[in-house]
Amino acid sequence: MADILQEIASKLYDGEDKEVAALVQQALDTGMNPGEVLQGGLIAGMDEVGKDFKAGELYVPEVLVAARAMHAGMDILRPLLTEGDTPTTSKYVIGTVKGDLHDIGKNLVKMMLEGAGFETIDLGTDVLAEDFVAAVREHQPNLVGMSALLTTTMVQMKAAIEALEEAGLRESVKVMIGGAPVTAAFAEEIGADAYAPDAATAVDVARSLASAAA
Amino acid sequence: MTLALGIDTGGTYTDAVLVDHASSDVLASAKALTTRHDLSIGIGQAVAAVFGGGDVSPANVDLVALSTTLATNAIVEGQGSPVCLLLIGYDPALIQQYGFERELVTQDVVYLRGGHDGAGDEVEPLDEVAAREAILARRDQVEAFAVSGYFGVRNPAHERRIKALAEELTGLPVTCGHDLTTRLNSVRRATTVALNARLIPLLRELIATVQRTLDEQGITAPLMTVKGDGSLVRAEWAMRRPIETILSGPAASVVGAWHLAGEGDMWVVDMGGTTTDIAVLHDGRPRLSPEGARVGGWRTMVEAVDVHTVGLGGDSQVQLDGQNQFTIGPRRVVPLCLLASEYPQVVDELRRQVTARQREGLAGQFAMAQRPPSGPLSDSERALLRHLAAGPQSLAFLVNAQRYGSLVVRQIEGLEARRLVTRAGFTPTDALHVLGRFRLWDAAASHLGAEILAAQVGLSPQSFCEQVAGDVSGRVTRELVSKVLSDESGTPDWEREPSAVALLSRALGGAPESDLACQLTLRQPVVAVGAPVEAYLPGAARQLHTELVIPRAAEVASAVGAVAGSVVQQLQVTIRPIEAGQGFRLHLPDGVRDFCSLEESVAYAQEVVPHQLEKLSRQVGADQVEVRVGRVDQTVSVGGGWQQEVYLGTLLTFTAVGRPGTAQGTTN
Repeated sequence: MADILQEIASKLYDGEDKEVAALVQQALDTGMNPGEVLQGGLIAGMDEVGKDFKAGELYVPEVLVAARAMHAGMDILRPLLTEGDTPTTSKYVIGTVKGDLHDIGKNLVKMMLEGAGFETIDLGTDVLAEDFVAAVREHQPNLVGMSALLTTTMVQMKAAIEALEEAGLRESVKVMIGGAPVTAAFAEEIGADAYAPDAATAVDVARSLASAAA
Repeated sequence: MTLALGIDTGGTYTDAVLVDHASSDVLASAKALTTRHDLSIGIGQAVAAVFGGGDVSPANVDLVALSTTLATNAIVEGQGSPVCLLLIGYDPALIQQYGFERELVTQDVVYLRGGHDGAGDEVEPLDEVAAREAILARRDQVEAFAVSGYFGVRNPAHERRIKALAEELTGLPVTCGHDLTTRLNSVRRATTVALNARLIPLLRELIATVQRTLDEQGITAPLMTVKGDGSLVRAEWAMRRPIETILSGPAASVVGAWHLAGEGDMWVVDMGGTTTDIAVLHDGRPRLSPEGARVGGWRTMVEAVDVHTVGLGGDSQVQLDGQNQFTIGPRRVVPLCLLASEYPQVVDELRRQVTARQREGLAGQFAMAQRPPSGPLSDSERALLRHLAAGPQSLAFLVNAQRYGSLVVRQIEGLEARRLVTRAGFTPTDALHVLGRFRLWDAAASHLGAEILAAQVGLSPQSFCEQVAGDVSGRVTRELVSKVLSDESGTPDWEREPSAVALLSRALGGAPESDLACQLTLRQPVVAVGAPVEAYLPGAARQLHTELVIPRAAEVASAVGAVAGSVVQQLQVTIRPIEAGQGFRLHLPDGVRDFCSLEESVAYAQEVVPHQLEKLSRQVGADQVEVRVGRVDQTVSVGGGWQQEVYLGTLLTFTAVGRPGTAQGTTN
């Protein structure tokens, strides 16, 4: 039984989306619990992808392709998963700030987070401070992630955090930020909870913020 | 010599001191019991007593400073006048979604259209028509208005307009969010202004009665009140912003301790009858809580002294729990020795209880009437109060005398909450009488009380009392350690962290057979003030290997601190970059102004604000005002290899410091 999970993880790592889908279905047909397939197969595979990406052994295109394989497996599992199967009910709202249209980094983070079992809500790009507040109200996430790639738009992260503060909602979420011009010092100055330099680290940071808040 | 009269109303006692203002030498001091239902009575008694010596005439007093617990007590007890809270640009759906209505203090909340955004630009025009209607409808129903606008601290225009309108239409006091703080969080600002408005009539009444009391004594000096940060303002000014007087008692005590001890940085432990307050001073100024003071469960935005309060004091009740352990506090009771010195029959009753087997939980406790019965009372409550009309009775007697005797304790607790009944019982003060370290009142009662409780835990009365006294010291040590650590890093959870518990226990002398010893050292001296400190603080200081200073006149540190305070007024002004490089916006207390360059905006602020602040300081009661400016530019380096910096804003802090003006005109 464990072999098929390892097989799924391995094929996911290689980005073989059709094979992952087939193996997931096979595992389910043998009576395996969908939650087990998710944890032992898909998440285990993405964790390995993240580890090697952080270590510089995998590059962005390979990560994207692995993520696509993960999605292929998730499409089959998602309708079968119940509340109890998903490891955490952690919700993550993510967006690129006002005036900024870059989204590759944001999309990568989003996919890595989904691979780690987070439920993600993508607000897209050019997200106004008020939109972040509205999204927090609507989705009640544990975490909010903001991305910016321009030195001229980074300041919008401060505006978004201030908008959450003024609404009285700042303490209901943990805020993390990222993007090429962003630094840990900047995160501290503007009152964000954390900073991540890349997508794989973002997952680790998100996990620790989510469990600290629990 | 400038003669100053300091008055402090504490939880248990009201102190009055006469001080040489220049040297802070205490010339005379007096205490009276605090009269909670009308503070001015206790104040009058203490003031009359302090002149009792006869060497100083009330007419010679040049300055009076009052620190009062009125604001804190009123908030904690939910007292206050009917007020209307006007919210501009708030979203009622958001308030409802998160249950924030509870934070709004009053039920009478009016949502008005209007408000600004984070940059200070108007989001929606102010609905003055609706405002006018709402204000007029309440003209005869409320005693004050509170106004808070969304992002009103970034642009006060709408708040100012509503304030002007309310003043014009009703003449009632109006408080605005931007007057009390410059910080974000619309909900906490609303809490703060609403609490402030509710307190205005109460504080006005207190100031008026204190003023009358002073006039009766022949004192003509100006009356100042202490703010929660330890600074002074004229009483008339405090009446407009009473919320700023919360925690003034602890603040005065910390400032007083510093003046009496004359040290630099120090930790202050103020132990009273009911509570122990712990705070730290750097460069003579008390550390303020950055999160805003929390009072009575409300989270306010008032920057007051960061005091850690523990429900442990000289008169905390010593009780036995089910497992033959004893707990001390948080309830405060009248010590048995004090009760017996007024009502000797108590000793007989205690003697009887020593020999007769008592029900646990009732032994050694008495109830007495605190004031004439008032308010709605049930039949059994009335019956209880009738028993107490002639004098205190033991709980055991009351339980036997009533039907459903087991309900008696609960009924007594209810009457205690309404301040109709006070309890008496064994306290650390009694333990000290048994150990011979205190000889103020009737020690026989203390001995008997100790016998009764000690028997229940299988100790000799002597050992029991030693353990009680040691326990008090030990708890002070723990709370000091806890406070230092929580100020410096998060709050450690002693109960949940086994390693912390083990190490701390070793540091406090526990686990003597362990191979590991632990020693904690507090790097700053501890200055202890308050009546019981001689008994308990030496032990705590020894455990923390630090110097202990108990200044002379330590028992009246709060009253000394009240007159030692300076007038300090601060104005924070921010400058923010306008989007897309269009210049810089200066956020002033009366509005926003845009400039092309940063230096232009800074120059303008530095030209305009010191004048305003100086004027304000004089209005508030200062003489010889000095204004200082602090500038912090928030710039951050950009990552990713660009050699660039991002400018986030500039914070200008203007601080005016002055001496309180006295009747003499100028000091020195």
